[in-house]
Amino acid sequence: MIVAPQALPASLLVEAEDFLAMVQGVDPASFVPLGDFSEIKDGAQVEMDSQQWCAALLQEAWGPWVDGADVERAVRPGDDSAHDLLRQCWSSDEDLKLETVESAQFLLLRAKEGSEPVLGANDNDTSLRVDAFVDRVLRRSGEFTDAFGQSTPYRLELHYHPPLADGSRFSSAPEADAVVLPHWTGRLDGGVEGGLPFFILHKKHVSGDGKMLFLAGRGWFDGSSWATYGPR
Amino acid sequence: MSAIVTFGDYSLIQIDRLGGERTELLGEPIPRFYAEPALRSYFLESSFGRADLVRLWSSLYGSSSSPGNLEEAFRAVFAFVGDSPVSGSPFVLFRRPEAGAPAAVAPEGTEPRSPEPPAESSTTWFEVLVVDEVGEAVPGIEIEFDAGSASGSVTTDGAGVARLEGSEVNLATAWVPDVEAALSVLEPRWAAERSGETPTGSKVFPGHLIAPFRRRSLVHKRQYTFVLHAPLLEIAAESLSFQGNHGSMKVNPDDWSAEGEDHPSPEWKRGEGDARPVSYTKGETPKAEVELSAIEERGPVLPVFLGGKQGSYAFGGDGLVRGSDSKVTIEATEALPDRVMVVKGAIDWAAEVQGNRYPAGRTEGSKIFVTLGTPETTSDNGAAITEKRMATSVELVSRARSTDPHTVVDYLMDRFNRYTLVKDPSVPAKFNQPTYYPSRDRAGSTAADGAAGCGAWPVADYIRAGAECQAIVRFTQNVIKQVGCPGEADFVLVWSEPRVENGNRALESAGRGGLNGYPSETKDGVRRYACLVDTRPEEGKIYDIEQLWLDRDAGRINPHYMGLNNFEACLRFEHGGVKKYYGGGAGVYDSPEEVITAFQALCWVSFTDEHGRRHVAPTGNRGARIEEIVKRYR
Repeated sequence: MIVAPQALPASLLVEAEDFLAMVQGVDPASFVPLGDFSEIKDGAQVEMDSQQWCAALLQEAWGPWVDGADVERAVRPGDDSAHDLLRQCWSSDEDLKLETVESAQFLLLRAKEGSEPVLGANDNDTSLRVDAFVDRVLRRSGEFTDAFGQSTPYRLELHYHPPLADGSRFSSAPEADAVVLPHWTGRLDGGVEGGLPFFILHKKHVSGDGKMLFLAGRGWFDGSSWATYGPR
Repeated sequence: MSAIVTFGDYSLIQIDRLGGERTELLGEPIPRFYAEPALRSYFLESSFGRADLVRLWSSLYGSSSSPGNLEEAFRAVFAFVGDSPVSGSPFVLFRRPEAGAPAAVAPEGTEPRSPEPPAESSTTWFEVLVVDEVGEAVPGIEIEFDAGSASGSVTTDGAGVARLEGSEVNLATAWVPDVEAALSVLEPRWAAERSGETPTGSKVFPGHLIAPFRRRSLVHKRQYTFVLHAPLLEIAAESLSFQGNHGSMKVNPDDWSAEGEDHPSPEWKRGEGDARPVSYTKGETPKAEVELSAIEERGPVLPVFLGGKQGSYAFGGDGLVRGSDSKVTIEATEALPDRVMVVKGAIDWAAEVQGNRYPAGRTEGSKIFVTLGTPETTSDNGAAITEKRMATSVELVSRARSTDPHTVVDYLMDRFNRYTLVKDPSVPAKFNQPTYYPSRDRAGSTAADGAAGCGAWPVADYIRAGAECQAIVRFTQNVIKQVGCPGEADFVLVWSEPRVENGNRALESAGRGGLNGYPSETKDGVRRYACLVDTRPEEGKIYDIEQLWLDRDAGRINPHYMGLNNFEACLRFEHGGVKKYYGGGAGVYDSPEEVITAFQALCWVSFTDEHGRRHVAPTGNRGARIEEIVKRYR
């Protein structure tokens, strides 16, 4: 779907850009292969977290946690420039190589080199290709359960702003503040880099306690991110 | 020493000294069981008897001295008394023939004589009247007579009489040759309880219809009465069906799901394992129906009293054994106590019939859950009343040591007070701790493989892991409703809003509400949101919204931290005109106005400045700036 032909204000994509820049800014070689989540202090929590969010965003057949998926996992402890990061790379299909990089605050999904590019002959063609990728790989629609156990249907429609080219950005709800989303389905951001699509899910933990959850990016691996919300 | 000790109608005869006399001429041998009263009476209560006892005892033990204790001497002699001449015992007690009958045995030292034939006609007769246990004549019963050449069987006539004619001897024996056939004849008259006296007398012989039927000795020209009895050897409780219990527990003692077959009735059947538990409200008196079986099942219907003991608890009641109505309605001997508890343990049954006591088996594993009222379900996922849920609820509520609903709720909310938003990996993923919504993990995704139908029940198993406030509230609601606790319990949200009386009014809603999704506003180019804050705020200051602890282990709190909230979740409980709010780890309140004081203030906060730049706290974490304090509560 092509929306109005004006560019998306940068202020509305601040998180997405920050996260993307964070991932692009770290040296890929600084990731350390992960054999087992027990190698991380709060590894069980990190593993559960990743499983749940990958299951939220990705269709069952496409995620890194599918039985039999040949996944390469690596971690990078946080520092001044980046959160604690978990990277997972796998091939879902002959024409689709996927990678997720996630922290306590976001999940970045991107198609890697060797995947079918999404830039088409024109904007419409590109938007259709992106939509096809979304339909194929992501949970574009479904139901989410709110803090009170009520199920609500959702559908993510990305708003495309021409021209759609390398570096383009799109969002399902650019006006929604990513920090105070009631639920992750309130906003999904994405774009095209190197001719390939990427998407950013903002991890919004739904709480039935009334407390707004803001997890620190550099406390994911040692558990200090969650310590703020632990037993009281 | 004489071969005979004679007293009254009886003779105690030393068989091995009779020298071959026909023992059937001695009279009727009395079975050992029946012999004891007659012998005891003679040997211990008359001077002649005591003298004879001493002589018999001395001859048996070859002692020249007297026995020191007559009771012991009697027992020693009685030990040699047998049932019949052919039993090989030294002594047999006989009931002597009527006066005028030929002497059965010649005095010691004389030649034995054969009985003389009757002086008149050459043949005689023997007669038996057959009656049932209430004295009613029984036609159609075959009686076998052993009377010399005239031996044969005769069937009782319409008056219940069987008469054998043409005998050339004056002593005979008679018996019922076909016990099964006799039972078949009697069965129709045993379908219902009957009343009547059981005949007794010197010529009345009771006979239990067990093969082989006991032979009786008859003297000619006299009518003897056979009283046919169906033996009652054993009584057993076959099933137990409680009456008036709640009857709502599904059969599921194993897991928290709502699955399970409906509560069965009867709750127990013999041979099918432990009884299923039942529940009653405190103060009620449990009743039950117990079906009985008997061995022999064929026989008259008899009144029975059945008692049952379950630890210190007891039941009892009257009913009938045998027949189509072989059951007893029992009632507890006292009402259930005025508290939540469980009466448990095997029930041992004992039946009393016609003065005889019969152990009647055992019902294993019986449990009576005593509740505050009638169990109810809630709106939680998979609402149901099950055995496991009831057992847990009774156990928990019993520890409150009170039947006051507010005290119970207070105890539960205090017991399960480990509130957390953090998932504990030790809790099986299917329960989705800390939310305990089967369809909601922290992502709010319905793709999670939840344990559908368990609701918040698993909270009981993972107390240390903690749970969200809403899960603890749901769990508490589940427990109190499972035990029928009176009162209204609701999960409510309490919050305030800037546009409603400037935050001066506490708002309350059951289920939905709060500040999530509250319309933001833009002022001076800054987008701001309404939040309830739990740290004392200063306008214009930027607070860290991510990191509470500088050092969790050392307990060092980040002085720049501020928690932002959309609402306070509570269990609102009302009973007896008293309403209280149990806050998530924040205490017990009397009103929403008190609940809201769990927060420091209602504020407008921003996450970005007028240029859209994210606030950064002094710690480097994401920050929120207090744009305006709408209302302070503390």
